[in-house]
Amino acid sequence: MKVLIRDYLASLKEREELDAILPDLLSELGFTVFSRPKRGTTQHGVDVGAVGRDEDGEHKVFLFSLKQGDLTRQDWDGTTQSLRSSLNEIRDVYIRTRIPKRYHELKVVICLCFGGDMQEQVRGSVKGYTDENTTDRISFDEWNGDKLAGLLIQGVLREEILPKRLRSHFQKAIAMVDEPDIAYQHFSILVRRLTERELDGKGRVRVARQLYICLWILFVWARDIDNVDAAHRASELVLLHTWNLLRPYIGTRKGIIKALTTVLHHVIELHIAIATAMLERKILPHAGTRHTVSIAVQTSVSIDVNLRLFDILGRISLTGLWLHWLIDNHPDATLLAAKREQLGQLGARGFQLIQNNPCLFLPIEDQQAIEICLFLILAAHTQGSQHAVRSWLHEMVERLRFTLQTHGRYPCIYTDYRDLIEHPRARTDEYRKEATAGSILIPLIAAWLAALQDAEALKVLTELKSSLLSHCTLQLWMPDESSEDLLYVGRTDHGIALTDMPLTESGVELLETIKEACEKVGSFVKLSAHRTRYWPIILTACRHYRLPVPPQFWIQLLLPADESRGI
Amino acid sequence: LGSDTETAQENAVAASSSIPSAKTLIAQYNAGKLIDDLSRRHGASDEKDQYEQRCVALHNTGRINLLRLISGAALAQLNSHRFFTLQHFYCNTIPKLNASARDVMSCCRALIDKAGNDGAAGLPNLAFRDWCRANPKKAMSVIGAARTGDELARRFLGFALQARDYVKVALDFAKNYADDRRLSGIFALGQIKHATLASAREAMSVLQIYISSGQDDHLRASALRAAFEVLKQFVEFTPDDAANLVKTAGDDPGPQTLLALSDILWLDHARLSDEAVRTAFDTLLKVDPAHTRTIHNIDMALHQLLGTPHEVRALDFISELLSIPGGTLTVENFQSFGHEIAHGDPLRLYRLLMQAFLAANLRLSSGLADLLMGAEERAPFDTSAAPLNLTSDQQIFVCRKAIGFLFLKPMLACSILLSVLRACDSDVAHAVRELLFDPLLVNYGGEAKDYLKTIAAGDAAHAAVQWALDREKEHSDGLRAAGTTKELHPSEYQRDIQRRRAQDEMREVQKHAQSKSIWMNLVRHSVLLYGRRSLLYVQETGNRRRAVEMDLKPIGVALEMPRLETIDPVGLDYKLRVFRVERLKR
Repeated sequence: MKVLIRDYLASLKEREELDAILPDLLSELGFTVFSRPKRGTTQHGVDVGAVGRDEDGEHKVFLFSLKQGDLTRQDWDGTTQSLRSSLNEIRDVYIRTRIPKRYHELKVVICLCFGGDMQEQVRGSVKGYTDENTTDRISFDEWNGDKLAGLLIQGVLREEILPKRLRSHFQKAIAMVDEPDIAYQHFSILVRRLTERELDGKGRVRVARQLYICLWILFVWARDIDNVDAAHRASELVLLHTWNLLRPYIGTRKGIIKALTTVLHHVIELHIAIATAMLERKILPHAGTRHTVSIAVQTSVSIDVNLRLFDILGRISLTGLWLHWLIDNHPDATLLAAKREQLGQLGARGFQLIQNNPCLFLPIEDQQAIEICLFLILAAHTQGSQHAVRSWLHEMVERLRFTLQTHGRYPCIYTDYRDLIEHPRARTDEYRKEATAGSILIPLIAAWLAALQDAEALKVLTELKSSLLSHCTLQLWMPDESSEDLLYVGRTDHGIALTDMPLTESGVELLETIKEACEKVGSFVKLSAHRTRYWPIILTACRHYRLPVPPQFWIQLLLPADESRGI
Repeated sequence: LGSDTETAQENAVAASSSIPSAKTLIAQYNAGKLIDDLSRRHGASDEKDQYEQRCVALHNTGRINLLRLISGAALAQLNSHRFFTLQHFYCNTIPKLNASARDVMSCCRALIDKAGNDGAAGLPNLAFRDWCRANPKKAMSVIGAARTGDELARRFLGFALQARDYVKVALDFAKNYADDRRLSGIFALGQIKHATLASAREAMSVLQIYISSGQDDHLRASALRAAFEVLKQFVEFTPDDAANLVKTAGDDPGPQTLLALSDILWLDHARLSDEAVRTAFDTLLKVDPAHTRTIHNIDMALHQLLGTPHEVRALDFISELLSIPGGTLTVENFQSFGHEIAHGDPLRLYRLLMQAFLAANLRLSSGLADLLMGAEERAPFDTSAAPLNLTSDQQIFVCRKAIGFLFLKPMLACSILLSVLRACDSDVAHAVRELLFDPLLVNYGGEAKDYLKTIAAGDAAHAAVQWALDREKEHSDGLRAAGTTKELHPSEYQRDIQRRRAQDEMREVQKHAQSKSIWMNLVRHSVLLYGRRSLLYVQETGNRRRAVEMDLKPIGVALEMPRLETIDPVGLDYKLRVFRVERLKR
């Protein structure tokens, strides 16, 4: 386990990685962190500042200056970014001016912190420097990867709170990270076992930190083998379970909620970082090239391309919506422009992905309406071209009609891969009736087409509903009063199905019905994630646990401004 | 897979026994086992002749009665192969037998009834005719009995009338009877060798009356066949005489007349003028798809006419027949013709394809495409569409059709596009080169691309081909740009399901192929679990055994699947369907 964690630490990068876990590690070890890493502010050599008990039992101020990987000669000296320069700044500026007044009397330990090892050729120089600058008040300490790994195992991952059998699942998740389904299975067992116990406030904070650290370790290993799929799925799961740990404390004890909120924000940032690692590096650069992403699925089975591409569209959408949330709720002036640019890119690249990968013009599973809905919401929030949205949905309707009429690969209610790969198992009316028994896709696209006033496509849908799909139960899903307790942990036996949606050529009745239902069913606004404006959590739950996106997320986008009030 | 024919083994067993003595034959006869031996005698011809002579001699000396061996019950026990061996024996021996006409007719009737619809079912009739020739007095007694209404005699009347070419008697039956005996008279008029042209003309004048409309359909058909038989006997009959017969038959024909006409078109088309062939084909457009014998004859006629001056008529006919609204016939109903089209003259196939495409003839186009799918890989067409004098719209239209129907034969589809490129202006060339790139090269990076690379610089299609190849390279480079993106790959679980499904499909395909194979019913099927060669021993004459060794050879078929079938199956299906069903605005 220690070797595994050491390798993970050695792979961490300074920015947003090593400095992201160190504060939680220190908190878990009993330190009080008074300075966390911040972008855009002068750090004067200190990445993390904390107060805690030293090995001699005395309370001291610990100032950490971080470096990625091994400490080399270049890292040590020679540039303004070198560790030696940072240490000089700490001595010259930070200790004199930035240590909080209440800690002025305490001795100071300057910690040279790096994920790997100190290389031998630099050890002499470091020793010379620390010997020369050690005083009665100021001393130096080396926190290398080995020490950090030891602290992690003694602290946040210690055996009393992460028993052997859970460690085993965690280790298997990491070992199988190149087989994302299996890695995710093991990781989800770890998450569920850690969170299913009765926990008090501190226990919840500790578990949240454990999940966060474990997710980090999984991500770094996944990144090393160039496959972050499992890490991305795991990050959604951790996000949802962290929220579930936090939500009972909303509006209660300040310390616990603050600590949990801090972890939650770290998880959100990590989730976005993982998604970005995959999307921006591997997928989006090729979204503008015809068929490239489809071919990259490397399969001979069309169903694989369809499933993967819609999955990617969902990930793009949700990442975009999290960025949108981040911009709205945590405006960091230095990052705002970059985040906006990133968000705009996601929306634009999403459309390119659709245009260049035509399997995205018709899902094979009815439940892929979830991804379609997420992208429609993203498009609306990024001022995506109405024409592009309308063209996409119009083509989807055309393909829906064509595949239904020809007994082709029309969207079906099946979700098991064995059923999907055989679909359509029979080119008969009977099979088609069975495979299209219900639909969340059709009312969704009908509602959006109604708002976009595409009468032609609506007419096609109406005709299909009165002929080939007369048996099909058109429906939408909304949370009910039981959803708050079940939504974030993956239970699907909750909520209300809004059925028998009216479908007409104008679509007005459909929009009215949805609006009325949204007004009538008040449970949505009572969801903790909605009340506290962490709405992407609900969308994450919908994507992760395969629940339809509640219409409350989009109906107001489709109604005229005066009609959408109150929803 | 190793195999050996059952027939070969039976031959070997039969050949191992010598000709039985008279004593043995009599013993077999008395024991009721002679019919069993007769049905197994298919050895060397000299042995068989001796065997038949010995049997005839025993019959004619009264020691056995070959004719009494044949009864419905005895024949019912024989399988098809042994029955026809027996029938062959009787057809050879009946003309030589001393027997009453009734015994001979009874025997022949039993043999004919047992043979059913087989093409060789009627051979005992000829044996009876030859028996009548050898026994003219007995033949006259058959004719006499037929006049009195004897059922068995009426059945064989037409052959009895041929015993001594009784023209007058045949004419009498044709003119003065109104039942099956008139048909026998008409039949005989066609089969009798007329001694003089006058006799033939007299027969013809009677037959022509019966061919005309308003007569019974069976009668018209028999008269038509007989008239053509008469025509063959004298060179004085001209093609116009034949054309008149066809024209008369073409007036409101019934199914039997159409069948007779299809017979003539198949077997006597050499006597028909181009106009008569056209008239016959026009008449045969009325054929009922359920009448399989007529369809079979038309198939044979079409096959025969390919490569003759009447070829264009044949191609026009199939084109028209398969475009009849609501029709159910397809190219598959004309297998001999289809085989010749698919494997014969490539230019003829090209012209027929273009004809089908231009007419938006769905059944013919699909049928030809299916033929080409099933046929061995053939070379692309090396021609130009210039002689077809197509308009610009038509040129683009046939290219889209070629893609729609020949998409799974991309090289052939490309070659049709190239034929248009060699005959079109620059506007059309732009449209065609787009089609060459998408959907052809977008889907196929294998043999179609290799083929296009062979187009020489001097070729009129070269510039457009180069443009399409350049676009393809750009597209292919783009496809490779993403490299390996592990996050997109199917999981091991999914790949495992795919593998199992592929195995199941292959197993089903193999079973289906075996059920359709004509060889599987003829050969013994062995499955070799080990080794790469087989060794078996075959029993030969004189208890000798012969070793037969067989090497196993791999048999494989490769088919390049279109790329979009995986990444955009719905879009591809839609596009190809549109190409297939669209029509050119007039």
